Amino acid sequence: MHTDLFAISAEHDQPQSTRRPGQPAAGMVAAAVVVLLLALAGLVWSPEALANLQEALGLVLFAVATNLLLGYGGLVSFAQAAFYGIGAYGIAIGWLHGQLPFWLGAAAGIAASAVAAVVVGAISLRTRRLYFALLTLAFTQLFFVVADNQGGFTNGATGIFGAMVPTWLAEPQGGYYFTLAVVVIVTLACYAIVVSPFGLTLKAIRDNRERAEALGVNVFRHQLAAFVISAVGCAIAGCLFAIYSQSASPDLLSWTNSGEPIFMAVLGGMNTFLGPAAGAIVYFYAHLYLTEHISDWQLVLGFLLLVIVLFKPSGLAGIMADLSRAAGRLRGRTGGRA
Amino acid sequence: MTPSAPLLEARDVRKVYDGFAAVDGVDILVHPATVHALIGPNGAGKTTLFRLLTGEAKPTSGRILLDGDDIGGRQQHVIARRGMTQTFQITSLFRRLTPLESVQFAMLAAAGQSGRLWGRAAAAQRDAALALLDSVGLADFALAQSGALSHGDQRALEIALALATRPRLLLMDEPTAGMSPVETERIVQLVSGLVRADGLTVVLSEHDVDVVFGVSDTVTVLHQGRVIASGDPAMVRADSRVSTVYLGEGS
Amino acid sequence: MHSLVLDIAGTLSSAANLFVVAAGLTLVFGAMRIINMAHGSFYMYGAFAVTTVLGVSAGWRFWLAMLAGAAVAAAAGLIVEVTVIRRLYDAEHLTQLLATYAVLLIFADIAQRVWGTGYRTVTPPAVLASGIDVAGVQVPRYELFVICAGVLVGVALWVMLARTRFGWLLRAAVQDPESIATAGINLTRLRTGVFVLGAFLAGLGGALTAPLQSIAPGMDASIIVSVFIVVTIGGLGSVPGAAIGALIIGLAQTLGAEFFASWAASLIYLIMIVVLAIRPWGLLGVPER
Repeated sequence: MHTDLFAISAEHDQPQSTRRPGQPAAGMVAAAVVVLLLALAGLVWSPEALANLQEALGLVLFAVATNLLLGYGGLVSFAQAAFYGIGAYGIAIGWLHGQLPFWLGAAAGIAASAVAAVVVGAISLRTRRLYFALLTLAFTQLFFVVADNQGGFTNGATGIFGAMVPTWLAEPQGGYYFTLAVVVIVTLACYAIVVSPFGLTLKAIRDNRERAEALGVNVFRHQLAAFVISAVGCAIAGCLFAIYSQSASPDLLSWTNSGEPIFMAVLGGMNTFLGPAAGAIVYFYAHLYLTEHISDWQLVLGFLLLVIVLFKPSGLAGIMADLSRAAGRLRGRTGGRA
Repeated sequence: MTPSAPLLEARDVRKVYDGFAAVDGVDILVHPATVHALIGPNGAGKTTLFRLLTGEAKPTSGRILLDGDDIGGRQQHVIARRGMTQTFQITSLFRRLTPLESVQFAMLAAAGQSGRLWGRAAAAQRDAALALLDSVGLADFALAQSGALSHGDQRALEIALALATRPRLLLMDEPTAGMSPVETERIVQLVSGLVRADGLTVVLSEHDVDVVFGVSDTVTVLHQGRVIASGDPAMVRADSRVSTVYLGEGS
Repeated sequence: MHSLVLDIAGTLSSAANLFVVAAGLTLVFGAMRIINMAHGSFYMYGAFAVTTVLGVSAGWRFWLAMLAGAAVAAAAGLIVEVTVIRRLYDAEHLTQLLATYAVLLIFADIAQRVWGTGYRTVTPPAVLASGIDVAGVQVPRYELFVICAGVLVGVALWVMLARTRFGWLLRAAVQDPESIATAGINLTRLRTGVFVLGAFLAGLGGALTAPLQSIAPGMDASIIVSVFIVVTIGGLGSVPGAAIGALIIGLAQTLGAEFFASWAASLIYLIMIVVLAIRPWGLLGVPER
């Protein structure tokens, strides 16, 4: 049986050009509604629920940024944890060693991630497919070893803990709204990039690298740019984590942490822009519930991943598309269009 | 013979693989706004010569000149920017993009805008792209998925992609391979129309003898890496060496 | 001088162990183009199975336990191949990575159910427990045993690949997959055979090193990275490459512990980066089709 996550699926990879320009997509309206509801939740939910949601939102950004490279760029990388971790450590180290305000530490962490991404990308993108993935894994583990061992700088294996953000940010509502604002803004920026000519170029390279090259596109440079942009998004997500947990530790940078946003993206549907966001939310809450109630959460997670990868590669987004098509048929109209 | 300077020139070009000369001292002159056909049996060196012209391979010796500039060994995307593009023998499309998106991408790439981070790609050059798709007969399929098109439509999209970059010179590697007579005729009309109307220069390699002699202004015959005849179709057809080596083998 | 002998023994024994496990992975990838993230799970199951067979005391049951460990891993490999791997042959690398990672999660959970979450140890049989005098230094006999086992496995694999029909088919599959597809070979049985062999080797590696380390959950994830590095450096599909890679990594681990202390772990990653930067297909690998 042929299973292919990148398979042709006309229903799930809706080209924007099917809409009349000017008419907002059903998906965009739904997203706006969701953001509104999230904003309202900040006013009524309990502090514990808000804390969970804040953590989940950070993961949403992590997954969306990772999918820029995975779904749109067609590149399987293990480096996203490294950039995530560097972002988090930016705030933590800035606080620990320089008493820097969190936003300055964050800026430093994001800048450091970008530089690291240029180096890692420039070397790794010269290889393809599996070797590319393994090179990014090696780099990530390198960063992990640095974080784990440089006691003087990163506080070693224990990590850094402390009141590294101002009180208003450490409070449930303050932290929540800040995170929500950042996630929405950065996600919108990612969306703008995806629908831009650069985004179209990425998709073309993903589909047919040689043809894109023959049409005059410097594939290496575009992929490197995508690598760095994705890294910056992941670094911002890492900063949000540091803000939430007021900590940074080496296991943020381990390669297994890189697998999580990939899993979220696949779960939600890597062929769509917001699929990974949905996947992140579902994954987070499912994990929360499972670890509290079932001791075999690894088993459940494993089976779920296996079933999705083998039988429904288009993920939740694919299921949604199937449902909307079925609903359209029930209503007597032909097929469903976004 | 046109009096203008050649657009594309190959001078004593050789390509040696592991001691075997796939192309062994080939001279070619391609004049603007003409259709120049390369024919020869399998193994004659057509594909290798093509790859040398487009930059996919570097010549072992000899020069390749585009408008007087040496392009031998330059990177593919650089050559593409100089105004030479190609269609591929095996259809090479962007499977998950629509024809419209594919052509828009090609146009953006030609304009150097492939890296632009602002603006919406869907709106970029939309009218020009639709017009181009219309000219190759794909207006009805502009929003389908490229990978789902019929073979003939995919070949038409191939050509549209190459034309999207508004090249001066188009290399076509066996453009009518696997096509029905109707589809072949459609491509032939398209190509000759473009040459007449836009001054496009076309170099094509072909097996189909009728296509070659019907549409070409110049025919060059390759055999074992060397040119054995070159000139206008009638002259080549009458050349006895050509009949022996190539036409006698059947097409 | 003293520590040099110990260092050499240590390097060779960890290299031997890595080689046995890596040979399995490289054969599977070379012949079937399958990346198996659960390869470390077979390794872990081999080690755990040994603890079960042995109880606590060793003795003549030790050799039985070694084989049982490898057999359990092979059985697990059979189950995985039939249920999951069969569906992955034409799939994208990402699909294979994710599906086999899912298998890793499932196997990890089952292992915790069966063997608990704590760690276990195994003592080697008395005949291998003490040291042997080499150039004035006491070298653990068990390490020498592992080295011999590694060499034996290498020889056995070489014989199999060069002299048996199965080995011939395997080599053909590595070099030119199309050739065997058309030759009327029972492809399914070949693939199952290769995968089970790979699992067997992984389990054998786990069983062999059971007395040398603490056996605990998590050893599946930690071994897989070293094995991937060995296989990548050596070149996917090449058993000699796996041997070279194992030697390099074994050496790096020993030298790293001696000279780099806590930074030791970074050495193997640096080596992999340098090797791939110079030879993107590994030392003895073939460019990917």
